[in-house]
Amino acid sequence: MTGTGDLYLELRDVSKVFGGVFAVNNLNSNFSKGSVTSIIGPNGAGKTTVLNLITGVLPFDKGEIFFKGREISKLGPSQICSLGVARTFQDLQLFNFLSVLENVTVGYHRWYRSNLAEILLHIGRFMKEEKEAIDQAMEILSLFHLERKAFELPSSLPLRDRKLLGMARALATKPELLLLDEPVGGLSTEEVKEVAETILKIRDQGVTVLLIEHRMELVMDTSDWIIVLNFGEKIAEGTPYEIQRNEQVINAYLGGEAEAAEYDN
Amino acid sequence: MTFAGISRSLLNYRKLIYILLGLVFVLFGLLDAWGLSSKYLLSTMIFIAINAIVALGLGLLGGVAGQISFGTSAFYAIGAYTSGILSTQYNLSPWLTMAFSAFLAGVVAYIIGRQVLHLHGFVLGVITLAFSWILWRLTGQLTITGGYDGISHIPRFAIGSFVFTDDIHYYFLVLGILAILQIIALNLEKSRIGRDFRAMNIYHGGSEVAAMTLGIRLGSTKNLLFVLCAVYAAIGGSLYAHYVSYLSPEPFNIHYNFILYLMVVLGGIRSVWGPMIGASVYWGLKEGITYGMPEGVATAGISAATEIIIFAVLFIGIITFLPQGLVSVPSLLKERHRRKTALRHERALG
Repeated sequence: MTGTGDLYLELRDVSKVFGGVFAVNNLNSNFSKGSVTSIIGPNGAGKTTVLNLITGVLPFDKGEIFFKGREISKLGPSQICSLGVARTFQDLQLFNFLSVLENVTVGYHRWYRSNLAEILLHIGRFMKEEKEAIDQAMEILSLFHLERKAFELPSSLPLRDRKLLGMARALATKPELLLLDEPVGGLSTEEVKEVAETILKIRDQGVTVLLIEHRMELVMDTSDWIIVLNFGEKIAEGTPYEIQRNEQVINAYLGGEAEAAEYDN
Repeated sequence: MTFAGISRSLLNYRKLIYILLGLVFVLFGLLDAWGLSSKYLLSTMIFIAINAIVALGLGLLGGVAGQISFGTSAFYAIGAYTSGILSTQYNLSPWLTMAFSAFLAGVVAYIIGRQVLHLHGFVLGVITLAFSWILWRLTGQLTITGGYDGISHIPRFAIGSFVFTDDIHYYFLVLGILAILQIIALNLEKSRIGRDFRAMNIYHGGSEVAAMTLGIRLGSTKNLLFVLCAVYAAIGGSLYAHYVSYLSPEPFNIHYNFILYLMVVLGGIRSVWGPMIGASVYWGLKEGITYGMPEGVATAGISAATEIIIFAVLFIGIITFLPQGLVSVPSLLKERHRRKTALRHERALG
């Protein structure tokens, strides 16, 4: 029942059915520690579903998921978070009436130790912890160049900053595994480059990244490994170099040779 | 450390003390200005403070955290009847009965909360409403609650030989308890738990899914608030029982839940200050309506109907035109002033 060191995150025969349709069908995958792995595929290929299954947001019908050799198939989202898995959302799901800073401090949640009495009376460990959380949150915000917007509401930020805030909030949980759901959808080419640099920076800090993205420039620039899904099934996997030359992938997704050549170095 | 901490958190809420002092002064000012009997006005002030306590718990649960509960009247009843029964039949001190009733309400809320709090929105509302209804009917049927005859001769609070017999003393007692509970509510809101429950308030820009994936355990956070709301309601109920000294089922009618929501919405549903302001305004209006009614009308039962109509219109009006309640008025005025000034500057320039 235990995985080896290489099998950091492992999906075994995972299936999820929505009303008779396989959103994910018998998916087997291994993700190695410290890498950036991307899942790509056309719309409706089941990419986001895979993310929801890993983070416990959706229960699945068949299969097992192991994280660091421990089965997490039956755990809830907050338990999975406490094991060191964090994620962002395609539609961001920011807390719209909490300030940017507060959004990030919510992510710091699992590191608090003060008890209820200390919280209700604002005594003991509480004040120190609160200050610690704010300091840490500001540090994370400065990584994303958001520290000057700490007291604004998320709705007042441009899309790029809101995407980054989603990542900052997830990073505040100090995860080992970070799952990013379309972090650059709707951003300009310049902004995509910035996000790519940030993702690599996060990876260099020892965080394993799982990325779902349509924007090939981001996927090809950051990924060590790519998994291609179509109709819930894995049709290919490999390094960016291999994927760009995979006939099946080109037909299903990349849309012909011309576009594939565009990413050819 | 502990003492310093408590005094610091008191200092943080200097504003609160000002407002409470304000309430006291308002009381004495009004006594002269209206020329009303002081006894009557004082009892109104006591009811305001008791209702503010109950509404405060609901404000945290229903407003700030966005959980719809109509169970508050039931916990109010648990508080009142537990106090009433224990102090009349077992001669326990009111302090003890209040503590015990708060504890009991908390336990009951915890057990119910574990079963129903994973439910959303109106399902939770309907189940808690059913609970309130059952408890309300039971108070009229059971022998231990005295049925429709109720319980009488419930004693007042006492410290040593000093009994809070005078209303003015009781008023300050209730006000003191309200102040403590208000500080606790403010502390809770300005903590990680406060952030957690604002984050998961789906009616106010929050996201339960995102909250869960950030490690917040939704069930236990909601249940904590549900218990807290019940404890506040029970303390209010206990203070009520020891004040009026006579209990009958009527005040614990499920209608009370809607009146509490009116108070919370009136004052400001997202604010911890809202319930206190809402309770004051509600009772002020209620008494105003009763007094403003022409002679003879009140006895015809039209008074009660008019009251309901006026409050219904008020409720709709507040939700439509002032969704953040009366507490938002100063900031709205400030914003309006700012805009006007900006416009004037613009005109002057161009």
